[in-house]
Amino acid sequence: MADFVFLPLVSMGVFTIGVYALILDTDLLRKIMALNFMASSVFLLLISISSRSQPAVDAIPHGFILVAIVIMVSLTALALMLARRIYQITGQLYLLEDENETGEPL
Amino acid sequence: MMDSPLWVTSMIMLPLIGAILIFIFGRYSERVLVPLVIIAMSISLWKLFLQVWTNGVQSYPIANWSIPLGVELYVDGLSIAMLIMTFIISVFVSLYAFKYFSWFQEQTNWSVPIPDKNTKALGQTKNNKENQIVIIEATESLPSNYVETVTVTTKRDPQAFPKGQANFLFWPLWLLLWSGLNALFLSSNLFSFYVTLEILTLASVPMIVLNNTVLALNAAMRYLFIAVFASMVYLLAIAFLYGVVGSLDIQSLALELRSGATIWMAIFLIFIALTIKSGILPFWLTSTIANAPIPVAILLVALVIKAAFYILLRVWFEVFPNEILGLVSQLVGLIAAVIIIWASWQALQQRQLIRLLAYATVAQAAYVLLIFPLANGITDSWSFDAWQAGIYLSISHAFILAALFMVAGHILYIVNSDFIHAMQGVGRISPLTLITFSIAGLCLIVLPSILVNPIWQSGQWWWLIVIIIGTLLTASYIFKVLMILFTKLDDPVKHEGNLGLSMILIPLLLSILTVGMGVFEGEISRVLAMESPFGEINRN
Amino acid sequence: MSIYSVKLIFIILLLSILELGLASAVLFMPDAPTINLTEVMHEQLATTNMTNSLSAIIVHFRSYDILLSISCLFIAIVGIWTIFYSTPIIEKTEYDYDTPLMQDFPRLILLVIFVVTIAYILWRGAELAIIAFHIGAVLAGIALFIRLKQATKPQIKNCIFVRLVLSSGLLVFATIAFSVTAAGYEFSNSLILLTELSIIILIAFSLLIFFMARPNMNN
Repeated sequence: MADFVFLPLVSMGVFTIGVYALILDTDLLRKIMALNFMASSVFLLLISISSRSQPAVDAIPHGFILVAIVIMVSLTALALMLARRIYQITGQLYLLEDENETGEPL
Repeated sequence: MMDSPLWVTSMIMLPLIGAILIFIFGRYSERVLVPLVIIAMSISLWKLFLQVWTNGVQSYPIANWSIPLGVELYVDGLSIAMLIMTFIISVFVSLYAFKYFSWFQEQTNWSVPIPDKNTKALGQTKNNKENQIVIIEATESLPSNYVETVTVTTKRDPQAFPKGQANFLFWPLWLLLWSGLNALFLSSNLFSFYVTLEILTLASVPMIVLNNTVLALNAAMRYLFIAVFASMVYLLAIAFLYGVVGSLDIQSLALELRSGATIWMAIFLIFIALTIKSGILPFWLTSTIANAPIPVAILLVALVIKAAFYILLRVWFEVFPNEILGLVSQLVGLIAAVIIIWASWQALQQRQLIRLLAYATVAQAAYVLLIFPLANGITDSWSFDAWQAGIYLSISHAFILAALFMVAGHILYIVNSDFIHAMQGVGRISPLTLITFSIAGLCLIVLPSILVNPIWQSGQWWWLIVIIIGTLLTASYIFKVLMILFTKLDDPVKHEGNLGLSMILIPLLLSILTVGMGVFEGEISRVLAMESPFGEINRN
Repeated sequence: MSIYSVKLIFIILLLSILELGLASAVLFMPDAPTINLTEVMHEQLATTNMTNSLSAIIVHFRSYDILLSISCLFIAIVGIWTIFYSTPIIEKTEYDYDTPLMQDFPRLILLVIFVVTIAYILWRGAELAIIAFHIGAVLAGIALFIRLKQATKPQIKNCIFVRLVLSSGLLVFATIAFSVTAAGYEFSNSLILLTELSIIILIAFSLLIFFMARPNMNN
C-alpha cells in the first residue's frame, strides 16, 4: 500500500512538470522532451496501478504501455524531423508566430 | 446471431493495405488503387450496413477473444452513421484532391518569409505581420502596401528533386487516416480510442506540410504539440479509469463506474482532452487550417475533429454516471455559448477566406456541445431528440464545411489570393462557384435551428438567445463574403485560363446532398435509434 | 512587476491546482479495481500455450491494439518522407561521422557484441515477453553502426525495392490479421512466428529511418 502512495504522486509531479515545460518553454527540443516527460509519467502511473493488485501482477497495463511507447517513438521521430526542418529553414528552434496569434506560442 | 466479421474488418484493413501498396508502387499507382479501394469500401460498407440494418447492433470479438479480456469491434447506429459520413466525404475529397494536387504541383514555389534581419528574435515579426503571409505566387494580386514576400532557398537538390513526389505521398497518408478513422468509429474500448486518435495525429501532421511553406511547417509543429498534449491528458484520464474500474471497454465501464474523486478528475481530463482535439477549446484550428492544403483542411475540419467529438459523445452518454452529468452540463453549455459567439465574431473580423471559414468551423463545432445541457444526462424524454439533433447537426456540418472549403479552394484557384477583398467579381467569372457558396452558406446559417425543437421541449430557453446571436453572426459573415463575390468588377480579375469544372461540380454535389439529407431524416433517425443509449427510454 | 511575471505566477498557480487535483485523484483511487482481470487471464492463459501473460496479451488478447500501434511506425515513416520531400533544401549529404572514436572502435568487436546480444535474447526468448521488439531494436542498432562506419558510402535509394522491404513488415502483418479476423479463426503458431518476423522487420527499418530520415533522391 505504501508503494501506491509514492510512485503515483511522483508520476503526477512529473506530469505537471511536463505540462509546465510544454507551455512555457519556447525551445522546440524542450517541448518535445516535455511531451515525452508527460508520456513517461503516465507510464509510471500505469506501472504502479498494475503492481497494486496483490495475487499477481496485472499485465494489461503493461500491454497499454508497450503500445503507447511505440506510438510515442513514432510521434517523437516525426516531431524531431519537423523541428530539424524548421531549424534548417529559419535557422532557429522556435515556432514562428502566426498572423492572428497574439498570445504566447504554445 | 453473429454475422461474418469480413466486412467490418475490411473497413479498417482495406485502406491500410491500399496505403501500403500505393507507398510501394510509387507515383501514378494511386490513380488505379484509390478508386479500387473506394469501390471495395463501398461494397463492404453496404454489406456492413445491411448486417446492422437487419440484425441490429453487432459486436465482433477479434480473434475470438471477447471482452473484457479481448477487444471487440462494435457497430451500432451512431457508428454506422459516422462510417457513412466518412465514406461520402472520402469519395468527394479524393476526387477533389486529384484535381487540386495536379494544379498545386504546377504552382509549387518554395517561398520563405525572412524575419527582419535587424531583429533576430521572432517575437519582433509582429510589427510586419504581412511579411509572414506566404501565398503561393500571389504577391501580384495583393494591394501595394503589402510587403512582398521574399523568396529564398529555392535551390533544388542537385540530385534532381523529383517534382510532385511529396504530393503523391498525400495518398498513402490519406488512406492511413481513413483506416484510422474507421478503426476509431468501430472501437468499443477507451484505449483503442487513444491509439486511433494518435493514428489520426500522425497521419494528419505530415499532410499539413504538403503546403510547401515554412508557415505550414510551423502549423504542423504546433498542431502536433497540441494534439499530443491532448492525447497525453486523455491517456492519463484512462489510466485513472483503469485504476478504479480495472477495465476500459465501454460496456464494463458503463456498468461499474460510480462517482468519486478519481472519476471526477478523469471526466474533467477527458473533457479537456477531447474538446482540445475537436478544435473547440484553444483556438489552434485556425492557424493549422489556414496553412494546410485545401484537401487536408477539409479532412481536418470534416473528419478528424468529428472523430474526437464522436468519442466525447460516446463517453459522455454511455460511460459517465448520470448524476455527474446533470451538474456539469449547464457549465459545458456556458462554455459552448461563449465560444460560439466569440468565434463567430472573430470570423466576422477576418480578411482571409480560409481563416474566416476556420473560425466558422470552431463556432459550428461548439454548437454541437449544446446538446449536452439539452440532453441533460439521459434522464428525460426529450434527451433522445436532443442527442439525435446534435448528431444530425454534426454530420451536416461536416458536409457543408467540406463543400465551403472546396469552394474556397476553387476561388483561390481563380483569383490566386486568399484575401476576401481580392475576390470581387468571382461570381461573374464562375457563376457555379457563387451558387455553390450560396447554397452551402445558407445551409450553414439555417442548420443550428435544428436545436430549437430540443430547446423548446426541455424548456431551457436561455440557449435560444445563443442560437439567435450565433445565427445572426453566421449570416453576417457569410453575406460579407457573398456580397464581395457578387460585386461588379472595377478592374478585371486576373484568373487562370481553364477553370476545372470538376473542382466546382464536386462541392455543388456535396451541398445538394446536404440539402437532400433532410429528405432522409426519418431513415437517419431510425439508424441512430438502433441501440442508442436512449434505446430503453425511446421504447417506453 | 512586468506582465510576463504576472502571467508566469498565474500559470504556476494554475499548474499547482492541477497538480493538487491529480494528486488527490491518485490518492483517492481505490486499493483494488472493481473488475479484476488477472484471474480470468490466468484461466485463459492455458488455452493459448503461452507462459508469459504479457506475450499472451500482445499476441492474443490485444493483438488489435498492437497492429494499430505497429501501423503507427509505418505512418511515421511515410510522414517523415513527406516532410523531407516537401521541403526541398540542400542538406549536407555527407556527415562527418568518421570521428576518432568510430575509427578506433573495431568493427569485429561490434559484431561480436551484437551477435552475443541477439544470441542472449534468443536464448532467453521463452521468458522474455516482447522478443520481437528487442530483436528489432538490436537489428536497427547494427544497421546504424554500419551506417555510421560507412558514412561516405551511398545511402538508401528511394526505389521500389527499398519501399517494398520497408513496408513488407506491415503488409504481412495486416494481411495475416485481415485473413485471420475475417475468417474468425485464432492465430496458429506458425502465423504467430510470421507475425513476429514482420514486426521485427518493421521495427528495425523504421528505427533506422527515424535516425537517417533521408532516402536518396535518385529514382
